[in-house]
Amino acid sequence: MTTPYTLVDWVLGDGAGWLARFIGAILVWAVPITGFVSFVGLLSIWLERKISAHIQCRLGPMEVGPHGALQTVADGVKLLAKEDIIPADADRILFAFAPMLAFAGTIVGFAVVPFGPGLIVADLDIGLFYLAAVGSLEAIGVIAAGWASNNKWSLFGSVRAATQVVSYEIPMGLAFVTIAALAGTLSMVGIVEQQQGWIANWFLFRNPFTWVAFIIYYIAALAECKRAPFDLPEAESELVSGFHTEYSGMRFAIFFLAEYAQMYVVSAVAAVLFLGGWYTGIAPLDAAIGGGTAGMVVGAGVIVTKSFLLVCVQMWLRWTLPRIRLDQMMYLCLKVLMPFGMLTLVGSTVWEHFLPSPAIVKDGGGWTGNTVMTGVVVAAIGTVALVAYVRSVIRATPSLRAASNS
Amino acid sequence: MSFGAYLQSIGHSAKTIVAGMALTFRYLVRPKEIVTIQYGSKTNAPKERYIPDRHRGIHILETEKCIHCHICERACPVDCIEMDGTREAPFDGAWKGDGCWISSFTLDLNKCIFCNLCCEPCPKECIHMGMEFDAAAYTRAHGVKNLLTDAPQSDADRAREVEARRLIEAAEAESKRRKAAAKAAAAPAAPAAPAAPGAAVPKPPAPPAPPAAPGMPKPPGAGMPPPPAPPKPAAGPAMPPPPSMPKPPTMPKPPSN
Repeated sequence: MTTPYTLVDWVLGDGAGWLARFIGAILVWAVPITGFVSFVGLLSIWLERKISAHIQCRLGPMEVGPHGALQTVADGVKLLAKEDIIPADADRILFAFAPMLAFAGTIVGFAVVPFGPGLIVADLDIGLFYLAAVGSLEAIGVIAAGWASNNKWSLFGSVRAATQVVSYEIPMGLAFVTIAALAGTLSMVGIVEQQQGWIANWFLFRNPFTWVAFIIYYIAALAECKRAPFDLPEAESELVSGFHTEYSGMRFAIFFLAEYAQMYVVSAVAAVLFLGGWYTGIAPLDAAIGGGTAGMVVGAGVIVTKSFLLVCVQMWLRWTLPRIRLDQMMYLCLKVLMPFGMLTLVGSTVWEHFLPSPAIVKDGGGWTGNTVMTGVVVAAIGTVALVAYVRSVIRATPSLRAASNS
Repeated sequence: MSFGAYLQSIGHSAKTIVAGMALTFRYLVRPKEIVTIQYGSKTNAPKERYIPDRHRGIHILETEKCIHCHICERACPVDCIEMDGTREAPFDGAWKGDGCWISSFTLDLNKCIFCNLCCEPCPKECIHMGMEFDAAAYTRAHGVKNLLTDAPQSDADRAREVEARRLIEAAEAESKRRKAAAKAAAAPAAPAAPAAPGAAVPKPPAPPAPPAAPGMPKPPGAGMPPPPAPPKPAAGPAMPPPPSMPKPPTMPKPPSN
């Protein structure tokens, strides 16, 4: 699938030579994306501290800037100014190289993450495959860090990271394949364009199995990011801080930034695959905005908002769930996510075979029998969940419990 | 594990995760209380919430109960309490105690070891260890606390003490003179009212005391790091009550604890 309209073309015009396109791509993409990653890091670190604080009845950072908004900037300045310590027996070259590898492994993911219609670095035909391939590059940096530190905690952490990332590639790949089978393409832009129109066209609502695929993807993405409850590679209570125990100053900051950048990448991919990418889900609104610059700006806002909401859910999960054990982590991957992932793939394709969705519904007429069936199933599951929730609330509230018992 | 148990365990996990996330979400949007105490100028919690009852903080003096007996001063192992006043007669600018008139009651926090030995022997239980713990000051002079005003001792306070010393001596001399006269007069006759207390502060022309009071027997600020700021009280013979008095001398202090 060729890209009709990308930002580099928009800036340079269509007739530019390869060298101009190369330099243009660096100026137009590499520099802003590095800036964007830094901004995402600063914002989400502050957000995480605030969310964790409020969940725990604390206030969080309050001193630097309004409600501590500039706290992360101050921390960054501090980290920049700190001494760069390399342990005496460390593998010096690898020790210095590992954070770069981790950060680069994360940031290459941004190459296929769209920021809006046309706002994509490279709309590869195999975008999803590329993403699955580079998704675990960061783990190599982590393993290198643990090995180079020459510290048993670091090594334990990196071994755990290797186990975890390699294992969770598989359920993640199954979720990818489910969507690829529905979309008929691996291109990220192509996948988003399949979800044009009403919210029912989002792959999340295409059939009941995609819900399961979404949950599988999200759990696997948490593990890929090494976020709680899958933060075994860091495991403060057991391994000091795992693979970056020996790191300080700017090298530590780069690891930290890589973690938060990867949180954004996996969330943006979830938004692309399941939540309609840059489409608002309201067909007339999308039609009214149209393409061009306005569409680009609004689309960028929509997809970044969706991604950030998913990042917030990751934080919410982190401050809710305790860390799971290594055997539980493997159990979850091999005995739960993988069978369900395969079931999802088969179920989704069979569903589509008997109740095919319309190819691309541009005029918003996506309310077909398929949609109705999906709605019925989802509504049934939702009702069960709601009843269970209400019952748990009644059980947790003494006055309501007394009323229901009498 | 049977297949049913397997499915049940997954369902149980999902249920508990949803329950936990509902709980944390409730706290996120509406926390029950904020436990953070923002230390410093933005303190958002009363001290009673985080200071235990028997904490030995900076002292609190119930001036109106004090009888000016100097017992706390003598009990202090590091000599950080200094007080001045009289039981003989009122004078201008005095703080009213219980049958006494106090001109100064200072506590040098640079020396204080918060041993509570001043509070124990107090016959009227009028000096207490308070809740306040923040004794930081920019200079040593600011580390001296005036327990009458609950503020660091100021230069104005020191000047007032020197002036008060002179007034006290005058008042005591006047009172002694009157008593002697009354005794002499009362030898045959009924006892005349000795030394009208409280009313119409006698303002003696102050003949006995030297104006600058250099050789005071017990100057209020003698032991303090900065000598009491070459006082200019010699200017006026009868200093009017200090205008910058933080609170009226006889106002009762709120009882501590």
